[in-house]
Amino acid sequence: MSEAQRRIPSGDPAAEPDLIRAAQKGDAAAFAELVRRYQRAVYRTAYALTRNAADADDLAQEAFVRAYRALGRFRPDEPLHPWLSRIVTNLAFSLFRSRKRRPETPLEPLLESGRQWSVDDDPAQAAEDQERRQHMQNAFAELKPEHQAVLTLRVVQDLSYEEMAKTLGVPVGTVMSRLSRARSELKARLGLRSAES
Amino acid sequence: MKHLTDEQLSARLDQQPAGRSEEIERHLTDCAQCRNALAALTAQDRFLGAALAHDPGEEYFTTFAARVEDRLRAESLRGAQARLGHDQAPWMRWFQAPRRIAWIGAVATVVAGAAIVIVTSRDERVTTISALEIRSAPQPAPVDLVAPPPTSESKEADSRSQASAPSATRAQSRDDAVALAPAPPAEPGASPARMRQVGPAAQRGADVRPPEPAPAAAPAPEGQGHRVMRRNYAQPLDADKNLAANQAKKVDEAREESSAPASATLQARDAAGSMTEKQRAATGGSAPGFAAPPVASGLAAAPRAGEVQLCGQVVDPDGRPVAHASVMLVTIGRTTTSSDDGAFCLNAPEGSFELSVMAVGFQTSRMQVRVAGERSDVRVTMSAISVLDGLAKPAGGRLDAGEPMKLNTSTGEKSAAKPAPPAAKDQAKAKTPPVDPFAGESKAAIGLTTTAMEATRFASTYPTIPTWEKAAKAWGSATTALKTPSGRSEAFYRIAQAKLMVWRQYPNLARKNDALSACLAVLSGAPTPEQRKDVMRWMTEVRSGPIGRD
Repeated sequence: MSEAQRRIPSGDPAAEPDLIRAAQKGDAAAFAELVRRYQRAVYRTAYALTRNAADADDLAQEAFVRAYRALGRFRPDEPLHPWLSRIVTNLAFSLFRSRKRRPETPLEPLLESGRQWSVDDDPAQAAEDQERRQHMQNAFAELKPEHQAVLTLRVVQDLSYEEMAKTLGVPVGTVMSRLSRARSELKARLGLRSAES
Repeated sequence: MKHLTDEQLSARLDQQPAGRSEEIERHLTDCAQCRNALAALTAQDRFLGAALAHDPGEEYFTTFAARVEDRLRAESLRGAQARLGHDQAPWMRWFQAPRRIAWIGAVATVVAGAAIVIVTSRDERVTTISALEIRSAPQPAPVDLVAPPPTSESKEADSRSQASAPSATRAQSRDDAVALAPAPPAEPGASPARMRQVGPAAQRGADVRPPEPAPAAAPAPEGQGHRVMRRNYAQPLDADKNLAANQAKKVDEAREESSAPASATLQARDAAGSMTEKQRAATGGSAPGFAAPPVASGLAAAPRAGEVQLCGQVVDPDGRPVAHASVMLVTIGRTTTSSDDGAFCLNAPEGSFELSVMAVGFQTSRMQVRVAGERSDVRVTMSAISVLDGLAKPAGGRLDAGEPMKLNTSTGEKSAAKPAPPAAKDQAKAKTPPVDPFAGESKAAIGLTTTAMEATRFASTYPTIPTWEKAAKAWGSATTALKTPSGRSEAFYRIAQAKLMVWRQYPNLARKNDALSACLAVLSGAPTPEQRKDVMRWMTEVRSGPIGRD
């Protein structure tokens, strides 16, 4: 996927304020269109923050439900993307909080490992890729939620610093320093994990 | 020489102004260590992006908006129930008055009596039905399925419940976790309220499951709720044909009005609460009046962007329209009900889908349809279930492939009201192979099958997890009585379909396994080629679909 595709969801961005206005007036088809435009972006964020398809599905759907309820208070000329990102990030944070009290065993590693038996041309390469991916995911999972969020918005969502500031409700300067710390942290943890293994 | 800080490197990586000074560029040109650090950071970002990516597949996103809509509807229902629970004290007090209990008891008795009469009369009808009867019957659907239309009384109730809607909406939106909305403070709560009323009901566009609960509608006062409920059950009792005709007219009139009153009617029924639920259970899950949509509109709203209207007409072998047939695009779970003149419209994305049409007294018809262009038209010919004589009748719904059909929705001009030309009859007999999956089954088995078919019909009109579970269960009981391989196969096929729909509503591991084992059960029996094909496709879908938690 190219950067441009990742950045701008499908559809004509110029028509978006009109779509939002229509959705606010009760045009369900307009809201469905907004859902279709942003479903991939929202799912990506949800998956990055949970790294598990079931939670990502749940969060992504819930994010749109919350968005629907709060849409009346949304200014149509604002960009929708940061707002949706914020909703899904907040939902992920509350999920983290509840999981801390009641940890669950994720299914995903099992299912992911099942995947590599199926279609890969080079099993050895696939296994190695899978291991690297897991390694990165584990290091990422050890980061503080706020660092996970800032990295997700930047690396997965490709938001600008201004959009991230809007999404996270912090000044641009904070975004910059937080992102830098998050990257250093991740590097350190990757190094640590490599040393262990 | 002072190296670049992490923050500078990070800003440089993101092409931020803070990382784009001449000084930084000069340093990077001179310092290999910082260049390497930047390269490492870039690689780390790229790799992180890849590690956090996950593609759930195209199918997942095709149905995503519909699932969001389902969840919105489910939550608004729960919200309504919660509000009801909140008011439980006065509600319960209402029940504690002895005179009222007596009154409720009387109503319940009447309703139960009505239900028994209806259930038994339906059994009788089905067991004695013959192809001849179906041919001569002007309306193939039994009278007890005619929906009671909203009367002036219910409209009153509706307008009242609508009036109280906005406040309920505001109350609900207060607990929204999303408190950030960069919003104009003067924005009144009215627009979200409007949105919710129309929203989920219209959102699916084509499906036009007419009595969608309006999420914002507040529960109607109990008295109205009961009035509505009693009417729903009592009306089919006096199934006098004139009345039915009048009702049909009223339905047509009601269709002209906005969808809000219809929505609110159901809300009022929901407000009748557990009482209604019990009654429904007492009538074997197929309470008339509830099962049949009050406004059986087969017409879809304008298609969404990128979607096409698929319209058509359901007719019997003689070309007469089949009303209240449940029409479903199985692949994507879109459903609607045919109108009085057998017409229906669904919105669907372009592509090829399985269309399934069910109607009481007819064999379920399944076919592949291609949705393309601006609008696609299909004509679905249902074939009668033969029960008594055991002789095979022309079976299998038949798609007049590619035949362009002018759909005329005005009841006055429907061509299907005329007797079909003899040639068409012969054609129908000659073309279709004789298959009735339930031929040769016992009366008891047919009874159970009819109930199960009803449950499936109901579930496809109101697709929720409980309704599909109920359908699966009903087919499960039917399998205990079914003896022929074809009958058993059809029942197992229906179970698999119901389990698939449950899984589609909200996929998790248990439902995935359920659906897969139900599919396997079909394959290990004696499936028809069509059944086998469907089931294989379902299994692929379930296996590659999203997996939820347990």
